[in-house]
Amino acid sequence: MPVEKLRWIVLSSLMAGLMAVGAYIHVPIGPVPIVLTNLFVLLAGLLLGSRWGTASAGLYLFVGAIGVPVFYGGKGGLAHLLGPTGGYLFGFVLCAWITGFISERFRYSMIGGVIGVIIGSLAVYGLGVPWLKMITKMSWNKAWMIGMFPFLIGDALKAAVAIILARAVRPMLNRQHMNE
Amino acid sequence: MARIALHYLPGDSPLHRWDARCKFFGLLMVTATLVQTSISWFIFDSILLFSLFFFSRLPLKNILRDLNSWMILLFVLFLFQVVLTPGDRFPSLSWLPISKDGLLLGSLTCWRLGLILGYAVLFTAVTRPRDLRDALIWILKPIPMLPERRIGLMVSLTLRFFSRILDHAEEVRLAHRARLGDRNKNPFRKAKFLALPILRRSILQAEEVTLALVSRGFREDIPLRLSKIPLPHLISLVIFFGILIGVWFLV
Repeated sequence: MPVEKLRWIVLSSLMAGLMAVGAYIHVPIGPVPIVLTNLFVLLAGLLLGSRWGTASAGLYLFVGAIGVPVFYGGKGGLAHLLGPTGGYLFGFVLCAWITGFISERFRYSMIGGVIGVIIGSLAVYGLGVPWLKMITKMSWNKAWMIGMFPFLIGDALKAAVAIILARAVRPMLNRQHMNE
Repeated sequence: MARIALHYLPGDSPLHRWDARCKFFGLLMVTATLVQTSISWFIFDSILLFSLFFFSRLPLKNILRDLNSWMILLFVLFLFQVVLTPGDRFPSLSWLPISKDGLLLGSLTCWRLGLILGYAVLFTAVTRPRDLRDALIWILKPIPMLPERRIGLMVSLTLRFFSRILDHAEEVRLAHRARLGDRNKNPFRKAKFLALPILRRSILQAEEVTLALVSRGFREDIPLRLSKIPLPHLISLVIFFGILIGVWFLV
């Protein structure tokens, strides 16, 4: 197998591991907690691009689905994936893809990163809030109020940190690619 | 001292010797019982967990010491649940912002999370990463169009990185403290000096893992020859399933 492909596989696994660690740093408010997982999902999209970023987020979901406690607060299992926060978890896959796709189209520039993380972060809610509404049978207004608005400031901070981290780490990744 | 929780700990207990595929299905069964909110199930699962730890002859004291940070996390979660859940307050302690429902919900949530964590620690401690990878490949093999070998490798790497990142975080935190970094109260500055080194070290380790895989000639097209699950192991799994079904009817 080519070294390059193997490197992407290992980096995707690393990002999935970081997402799992991020889930342990959480603040439980209401049915949807604040977690650091989406920071690493955005970072996966920014660093690995659409294909491997999506693979990384998908891998995180798979590891959680088979019962390993990698979802927020040490939860795991298929039941949790299909619970009220399941939409947000599936939204992570979409988020990684969108962030990576936009970032790639803008050739990993700063402006592409900013647009990518904004749209990527909103994509999580695009799946998460309707899912939350469907499972909990709450009204649309309440679903948006509980499932999105309290997290926007935190998300903006996480998006900013993801961009800073991506810019700090990318030279390292580029150097590794050049060493081949 | 190195952290040992969520790492494989070599041993010769029956649980170590049990086929990884059986262990995996056993873990799935136990996780399914933890979806319940019945206290009887929680008691059964707790007794089972402690019995399995006893039979696996793992250093429980050291593992519990490693889980201190999780205990703090569970306690914070418990406090949030207790304070934020609406309901009737205790008549004698009406000045405390604690509801009966919150206390019950918080206790059950923390109990369940503690059990999930305990089973995950036990599973990783008695299953070699290679066995887990092979078990996953074996399970995914019947599904068409799925790169089962790659998925198996990625899952085992993710679990490995998960525990290694926690190790890195602890090492960086201690190094930060040794340089009196903990006196700085600015959370953003603190995060910068903690997050970046952890990420850099993790990426360097990922590179080492890549080179190790390349040097060992990792290939996806080599067929995996796994032996059949030995009959005694399969019988143990069936007995375990039978016990769970029995408890289900009793509860």
